[in-house]
Amino acid sequence: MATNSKNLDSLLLITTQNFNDINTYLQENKRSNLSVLILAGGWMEALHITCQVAQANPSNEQLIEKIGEQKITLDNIVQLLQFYTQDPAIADLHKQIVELKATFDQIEILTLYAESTMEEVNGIIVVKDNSSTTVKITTENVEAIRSQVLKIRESIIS
Amino acid sequence: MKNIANILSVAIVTVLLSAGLAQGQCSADEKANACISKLQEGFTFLKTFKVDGQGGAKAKVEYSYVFSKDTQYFLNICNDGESTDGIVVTMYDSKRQVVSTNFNKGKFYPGMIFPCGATGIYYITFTFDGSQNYCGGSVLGFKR
Repeated sequence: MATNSKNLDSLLLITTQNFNDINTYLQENKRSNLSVLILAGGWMEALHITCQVAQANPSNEQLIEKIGEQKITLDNIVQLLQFYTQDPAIADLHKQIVELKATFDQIEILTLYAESTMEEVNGIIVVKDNSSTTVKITTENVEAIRSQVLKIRESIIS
Repeated sequence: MKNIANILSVAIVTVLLSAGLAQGQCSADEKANACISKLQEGFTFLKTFKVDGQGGAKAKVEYSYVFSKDTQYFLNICNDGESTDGIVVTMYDSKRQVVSTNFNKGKFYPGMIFPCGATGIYYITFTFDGSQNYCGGSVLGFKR
């Protein structure tokens, strides 16, 4: 991993393959709840780092928008955790994540749908995407997410 | 002696049948991994997709992925050789509207570039049109 840390291609390939291997093993051994925990934990840590960087760089609008876009991923994580709430460890995390979702629900992602067009360029299809999204997120939203994520993270690692 | 001959013939038939079954199996994992090196230059690897149509028993293989706006994605389709073997990949947005396909005006294309303008969940579906093996791989890459 350390050797490949400067090579994003290799790093993503290794982490994806490792996760797939772990996921297959856990599913075969009827422990897929742990796969969901790995997934949720990885996402939580990435969000925590992003929030900390955003706090240090409050004028970085792209970063703040990326935090807001996590609303889409969070909806999927909530659904996944929902399947395993019989597991006490997951039930507790699920409760905290649902509280985080309430904060994310204050963020608006407005999508303007428009039909895309396609053309052939050098033997490849190149799409022109005419749809667009706008993320409506305030500084207060970011701060609320940052502190909630910090709290959840501390409850996991302590 | 006759018994030994019978056992041998049963064993030979079993081996031949197994070989036939093995030939019909889809090594989608291998095809997807082999596809990584065919990612267009400048794109960073994100994910591989296995396309196993189970010899035609499965009409559609579907995956979902969250795409981010202001990011370009490249999706390629791999099979043995240059042909896509009738594998059609179609991308749909969160409202299930077609965004793109590699089968355009009667021609199969080995890849497509999607400069995403709207962040959201996208559905990547693989279907088969005149496929021989119903088996392949695909790789997704990105660049900003």
